[in-house]
Amino acid sequence: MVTRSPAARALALELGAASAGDRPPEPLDSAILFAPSGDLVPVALEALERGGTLAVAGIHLTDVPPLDYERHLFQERTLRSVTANTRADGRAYLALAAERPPVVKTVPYAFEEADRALADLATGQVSGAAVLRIG
Amino acid sequence: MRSRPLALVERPVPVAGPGEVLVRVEACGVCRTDLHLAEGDLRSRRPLTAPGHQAVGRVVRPGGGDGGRVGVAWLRSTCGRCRQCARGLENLCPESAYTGWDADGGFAEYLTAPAAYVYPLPEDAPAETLAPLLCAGIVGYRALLRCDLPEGGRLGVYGFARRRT
Repeated sequence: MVTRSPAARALALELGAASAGDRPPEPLDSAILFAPSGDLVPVALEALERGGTLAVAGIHLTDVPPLDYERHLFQERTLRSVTANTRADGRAYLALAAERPPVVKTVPYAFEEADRALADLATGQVSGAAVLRIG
Repeated sequence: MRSRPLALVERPVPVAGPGEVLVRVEACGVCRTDLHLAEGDLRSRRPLTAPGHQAVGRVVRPGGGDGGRVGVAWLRSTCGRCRQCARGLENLCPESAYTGWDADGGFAEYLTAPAAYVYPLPEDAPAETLAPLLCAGIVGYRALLRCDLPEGGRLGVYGFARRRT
């Protein structure tokens, strides 16, 4: 898990990540970029093993800086985006989750606190998944 | 983020259209996409739309009966006719519509959604632990498929929390 937040690192390790820090301890076969920062694209590509694949999973990404072909793409590194999901993905994942329920760390908010939940998300204050309790 | 982008308002309970279900929301996850919409990183497609696309709730049948628990996720509808839909890539449909962007989402007591796009969910799990599965889980799963992780391979995940500096 690559994250700057100490709380996120601790949570990642608690949930079973093999490591958590500023950079991967060894070259990666695959990587997923959830952070909306284009600056991380070359960083993540460079940290791939030869033949590795980086999937950018967010709906929004800030500008990606220029890539250096040799450092970031050569040796058959692949850069891909992820756009939403199909219903087949949803059914497949939810079937897996029913069979082997994932450990989900939630941070509950009252319905009336939706603004605060967004603000906390914006400032990195949510360690886990923010959820509104509604009915 | 501008302060308090959301307003709590009273609206009539929505009416399910043809092929839709009315859902009474139990819980709804708060996703970074909701934040992108609130901050304007994603352009609003419909004014005064309730955000939220990780909604867990119960179907309210016409007449008021309980139709069971469902999840309402980000993908709300697709055309079903285009090349992408025909290839099994409905996520790339040019006419795809999204919960909480093109239609009111789950930051509400009730919402409506096309019946063909909601997911049955287990009755025995807390709604708040099911909600994050509907985007973080499902889209994370697609991302895992897209990154071609080999058997026994090493996977890195960048961005486990968002921190503003």
